[in-house]
Amino acid sequence: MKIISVSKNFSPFPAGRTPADGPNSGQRFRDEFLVPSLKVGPVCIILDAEGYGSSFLEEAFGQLIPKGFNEEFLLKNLSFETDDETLVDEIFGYIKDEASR
Amino acid sequence: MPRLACSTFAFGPKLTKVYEGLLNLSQILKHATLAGHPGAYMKKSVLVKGIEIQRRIAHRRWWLRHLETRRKLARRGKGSISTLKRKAGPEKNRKNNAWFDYEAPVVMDFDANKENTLAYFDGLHSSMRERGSRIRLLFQQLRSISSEALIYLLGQIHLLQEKHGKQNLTGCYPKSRKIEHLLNESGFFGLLNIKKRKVAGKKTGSTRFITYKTGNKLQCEDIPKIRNELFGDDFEMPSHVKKEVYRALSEAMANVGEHAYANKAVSAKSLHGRWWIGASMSLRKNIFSLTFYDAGVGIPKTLPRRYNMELIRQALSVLPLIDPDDGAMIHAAVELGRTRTGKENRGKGLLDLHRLIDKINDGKLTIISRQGWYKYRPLRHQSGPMTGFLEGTLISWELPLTKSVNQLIDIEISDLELEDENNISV
Repeated sequence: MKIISVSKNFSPFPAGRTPADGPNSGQRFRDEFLVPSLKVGPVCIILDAEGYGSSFLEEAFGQLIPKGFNEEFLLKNLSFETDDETLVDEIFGYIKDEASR
Repeated sequence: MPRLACSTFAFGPKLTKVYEGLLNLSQILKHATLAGHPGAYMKKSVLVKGIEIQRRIAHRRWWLRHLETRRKLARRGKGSISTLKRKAGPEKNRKNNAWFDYEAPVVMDFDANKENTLAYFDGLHSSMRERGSRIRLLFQQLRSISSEALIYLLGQIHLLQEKHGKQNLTGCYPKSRKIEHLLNESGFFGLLNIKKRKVAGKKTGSTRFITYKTGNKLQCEDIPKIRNELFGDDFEMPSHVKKEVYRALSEAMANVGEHAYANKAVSAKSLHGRWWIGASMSLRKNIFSLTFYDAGVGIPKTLPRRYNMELIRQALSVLPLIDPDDGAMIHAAVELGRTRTGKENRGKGLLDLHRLIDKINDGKLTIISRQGWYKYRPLRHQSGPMTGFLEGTLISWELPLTKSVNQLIDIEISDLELEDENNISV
């Protein structure tokens, strides 16, 4: 299982949806970290950054569906390490929302 | 000549030095002659008298020459002596450079004195635009200013400086020392390039205001800085509140970049996508507040672009309004984000503004944009129109200190007692 620490491997200040918003966008995190890792196997993400806006979370995780990963696969292969369980529910909520569209 | 050398010596080195830059030796001779002491040993008083006579003669000659020139001009039909006198000199320039004093209202607050506060900013813009004058902001009557009004003021100053030039806007030190402390801390004097001065009296420890932050891109590194600057070593935010504050501010910044300035003609490039953040804390009132401002088109204007009209109507159907005003439009925007019923994956940013209040389960969110306002307390929404106009969008969160921050060091009671005698609100 691959472990990704958002703060250490990506940025302590993740924010925004696309690279137009800023360098630490959800799209960059998805394309550079999540997609390559999920292609190999299960991934554990440590949510240890300063915080996460909904646009970052939706773009990074919800938009994995159009990238070819289905909801079932993501529920099975994505795990999180955080002290805020509502954040995990929110992420899976975005995945479900996107899958139902 | 040897006598002259002696005379210089006779006056002493001090006096010689004084006249060194003014007179040469021949002039000294001339003065002495005028005073009736040709080249003799001159007393100090005689020399001074000679210089005075010389000065008067020179001035008289200059004045006669000056009058003659004016008479000649008058004869040529280029005006009388009196009109020439009036036109001469820097009077005309002085009129153009005059400062127009613009006084602030007694209370600047979007809650307690909304109409007057908005009218003040309206007047400020029209004064600079129509009169073309240089404005000096006065705060002689100001007794109270809210943190939202202060951030809006700083934002508007920034806009006016970009529009009309920095040299055409200045300010004065306010009458109230407490207001001066507040303006000092917020960065008001720095923005107007006014030298800060030491204000007499003790600075209240129970009220803090951080220097405003501004930018035109997603600068999330600023958020922890704001927190640290505001709370210092005395307070600490619990981790979950920290994350929610980060979330709310980062989403507000992202929204500005994406929507706020779309289709807005901005006079200066540096203003495009610009936002301003301020934060304050009052121990007496037991609150800390965060204010976020952008000078974009405003939420009501961006709404139809972000959502399709059907969704807006659906969200508005709960309101007893047929023709939605700006307040109702803000309400709809927040409601659409909140319920997540939209078919698009976007438009959830406003949800994050709510979350901060929901998570703490206390406090207040206020959004003012264009001619509408919206307020949210846990499980309670309010919105409405207003008579004035606010350029862009002003978002403020007011949170209870006791629920959102842990106090690490006891603040002296005396600090609390010293809270503003003028009842400053922050």
